[in-house]
Amino acid sequence: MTSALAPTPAIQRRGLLYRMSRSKSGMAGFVIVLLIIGMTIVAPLVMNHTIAPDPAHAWEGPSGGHLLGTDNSGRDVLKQVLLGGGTVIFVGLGAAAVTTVIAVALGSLAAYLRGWVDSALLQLTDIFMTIPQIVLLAVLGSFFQLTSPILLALLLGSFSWPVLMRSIRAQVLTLKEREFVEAARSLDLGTLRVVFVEIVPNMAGYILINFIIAVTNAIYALVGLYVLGLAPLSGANWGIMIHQAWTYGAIYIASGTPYILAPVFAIALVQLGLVMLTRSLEEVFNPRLAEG
Amino acid sequence: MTTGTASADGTPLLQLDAVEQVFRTKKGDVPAVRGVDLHVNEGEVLCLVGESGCGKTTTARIAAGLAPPTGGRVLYRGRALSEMGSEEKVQYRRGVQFVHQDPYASLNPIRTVFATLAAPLRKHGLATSRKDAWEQACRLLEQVDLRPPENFLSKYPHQLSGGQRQRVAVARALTLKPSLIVADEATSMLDVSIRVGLLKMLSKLRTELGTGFVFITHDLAIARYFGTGGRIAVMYLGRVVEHGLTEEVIENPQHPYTRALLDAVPTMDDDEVGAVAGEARKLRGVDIPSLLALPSGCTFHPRCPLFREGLCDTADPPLEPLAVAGGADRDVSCHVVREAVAEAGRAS
Amino acid sequence: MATVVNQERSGTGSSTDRPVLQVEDLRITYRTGRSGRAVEAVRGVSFDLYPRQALALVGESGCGKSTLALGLLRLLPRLGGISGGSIRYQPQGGGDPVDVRALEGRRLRAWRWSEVAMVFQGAMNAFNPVLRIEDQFADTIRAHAEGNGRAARPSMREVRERAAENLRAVRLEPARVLGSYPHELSGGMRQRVLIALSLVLEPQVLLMDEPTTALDLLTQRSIVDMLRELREERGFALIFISHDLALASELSDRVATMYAGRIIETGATPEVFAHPRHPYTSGLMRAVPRVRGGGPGPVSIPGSPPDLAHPPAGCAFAARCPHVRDACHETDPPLETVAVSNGPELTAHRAACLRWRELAEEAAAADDAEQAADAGQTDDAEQAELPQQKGATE
Repeated sequence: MTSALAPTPAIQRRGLLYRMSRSKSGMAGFVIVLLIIGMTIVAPLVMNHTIAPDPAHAWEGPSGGHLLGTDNSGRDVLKQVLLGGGTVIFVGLGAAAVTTVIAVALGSLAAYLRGWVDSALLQLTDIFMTIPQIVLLAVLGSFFQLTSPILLALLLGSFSWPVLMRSIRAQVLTLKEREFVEAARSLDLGTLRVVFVEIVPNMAGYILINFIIAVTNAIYALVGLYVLGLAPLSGANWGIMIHQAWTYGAIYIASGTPYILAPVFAIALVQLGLVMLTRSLEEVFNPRLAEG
Repeated sequence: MTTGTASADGTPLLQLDAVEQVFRTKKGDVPAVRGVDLHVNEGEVLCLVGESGCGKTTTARIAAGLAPPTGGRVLYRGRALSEMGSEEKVQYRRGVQFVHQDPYASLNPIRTVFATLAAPLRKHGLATSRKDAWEQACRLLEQVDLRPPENFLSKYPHQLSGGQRQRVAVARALTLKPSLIVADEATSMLDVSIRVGLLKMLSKLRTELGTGFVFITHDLAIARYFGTGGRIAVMYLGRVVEHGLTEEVIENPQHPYTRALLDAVPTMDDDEVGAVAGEARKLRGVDIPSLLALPSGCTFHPRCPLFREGLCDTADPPLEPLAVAGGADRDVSCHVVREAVAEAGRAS
Repeated sequence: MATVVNQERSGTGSSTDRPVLQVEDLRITYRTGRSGRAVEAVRGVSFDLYPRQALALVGESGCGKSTLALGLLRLLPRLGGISGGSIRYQPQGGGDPVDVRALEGRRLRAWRWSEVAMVFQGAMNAFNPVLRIEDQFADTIRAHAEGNGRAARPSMREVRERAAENLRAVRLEPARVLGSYPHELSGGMRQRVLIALSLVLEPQVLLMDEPTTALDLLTQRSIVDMLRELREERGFALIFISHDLALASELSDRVATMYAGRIIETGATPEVFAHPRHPYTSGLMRAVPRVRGGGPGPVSIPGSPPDLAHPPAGCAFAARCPHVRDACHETDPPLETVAVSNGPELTAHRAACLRWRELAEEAAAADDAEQAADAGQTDDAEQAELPQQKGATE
């Protein structure tokens, strides 16, 4: 664990990308993630946002005109998949960013300050961990219009930090005993500086990996909300597609299979890319894993 | 070399007053430091020597304010740390700095030498601009003999050798112009060929800047070399057992433990045999008792060649001045040596 | 300037015996990372070890002494390997020499403990933490009893007897130690148990890599004394690796100074320490402060060892050497005999320095001058460098 905390000299010399390129699966994951993010950015620019319904061609199987067939109202499934990643990925990244920032800030302060701050923050994580997230979101969804992706990201992010906060706290508890931290403290550099300039950057690798894991978790949570119909079904994204395909009985119609499977595959691909990416990042930050 | 002097009113720079440190562990309370009185004057060097577990590092950490003692007081310029206000605390922090043993762990691996040196300068308002900080950092690196300083400022710790890192760690301790540096085994991780270079640089700080030192080491030769002109305190199981001027303690050790330690130092020349030849072999036991189950009376008695039943295993000898022939003040905690000296005094 | 050295400390009749271990031009190479760049950590080491002899390998971190030890035992990590040279082992009581480089599998493991045993620095790592000391002994004794094809598997009683005998030899109470787990013993006791364990199969050679570095002074002293006695009693040969010259000098008959993967000076211990002929050896000797006696103050060696990924063309020490000349940067000096001895050629005092003859003459002249001059006066240059030391030396 210690070498995951301190970037090895080699990383600083050769750069992260160079090191990552040494792991084939990691590079593949990186490319997948890049391609999908690129697609979600480029697709809306080159394609028409609204896909007109065409009931005459509802539930069509794959064909030259519609590579993945059409849905219940005759809209092209491939186009929906290409256009439907934006919200999911945006909310995933946003929620993960919120989670990570809260977890790092509270976790490192709790560990560094200990005492009543630590116990109070630990109590808070206990409370947050006992709240059933989905139920709470459902309740909130009935009070607020959760149409804004930013609001969704904030909500998802602000309920998923406790687990990461605890592991950040554990990391800082060991890091703060390190001699360079003691030296900074005896130079009276100030708590915030010691925590956020001396300690936290030494966990950069760990934080990055956990950020990516948080993205995957947020995507699952978001898609779950849509599939269960707990988030408003406005616009088109992978989650909504699954929900629609399910409610319109795509699984009972042979030619509807691509409609329900396409978004599932898209989500699975994003998650696979992210997981592969974290694996290679782990190898980069902990060279002992790479040797094995 | 000037021997340190107390300030005009006789107050030492730093004083430990009956300091105790008990660590609470699962196996029981570990008394790492059991009542230590020591002081350092301005510009003076005090070496703490002893084997592992003798409490020298814990004592040093208490002196440097890195760990509050569980008993006793630490006084800086006559003021107890525990009674200091925040303004005084800042003065103490700036006045006493610590240099760690391991130069590979004591520098932040992701910060350049300049960032490491500039942070305390900026924080304490000693440098007003980046340029000012740069110039001061250059001067600091020159003080620790890293020349030309420009070559080192933008380097990361992993680009430096162990000796260079330790010099950077010393330069960082110097940023706040301390009056006292507490150095914990500062040379033990370095290769033998460069240790003396670092010690010479530290000695230079003593002569040029008047910096005082509390120097912790297990190596008596290094204590003798660096502690020349200063004092030495030999620790055993959390207590000081002998204390006096460095040269006198090394040349004419009184406590049986000090004598055994000095005899145990390996030597290159057979003719280097001193007054203590064979003392280590007289020891009745090799292993240091556990701090969890300290022997009664004098804690050295199970190993001591001078052990006298009914005396050493019942009464704990105090650390008191002993009139050593032809020497200055010496403190020794040993019943038998004290009796022998008293008898010799009566006989003459 | 050549002086005849008699081999008084090199053990009994070493000059007539055959060497137990013959190392010739040994080279060990590490491949770094996946890029596979080769770094030669041991660059052509030769020495002969005679029965009952103690050879100290001294040098600083990175000089290749620990790599050499691992290489001798064929214990190198996966990325390292012997890239050249030979290691020959002479079994007890005659027989053909064993080519250690060619040993594999079972034969290698059997050779490793019963013929050549080792004690490394971290005593804790050498033990299986969940086994009692007696079980550790049992494992070692039984594994090798089977390896040697002996019929009877030693009983636990036999194991205990042999273990107890060896524990008493290292001054441990068998009754107290045998039933303990490794973590229940102090560092000094563990190191002594390890020595007992390494000697239980009565190897001909014991290899120790910094065996006392992590130990306290008094513990170190007792182990050093104990090793001397054990060697007298049992007559094994010893290879002792250390960065501590004084310790090496106390334990060894012969010493070899290593620098940048080579032996740069070797000879009988008292001879080398009295008349070091390589500037690195004399530099190391002068770099250590003394706890007793006077003499000039210590002087450190500036600079650091060369990067072995790019070894310099000439002498590896040239960049740090106070006596360097232009020629030193061009010619890599071979080990030359610098003092005639009455033993075999490889045990003579030899040094790898182009200027050893000149420097030896200078040193002799300085010695004469010093004797002529007032005793206690130190060299001017050193006085200027070390003002505070003067008080201590007088």
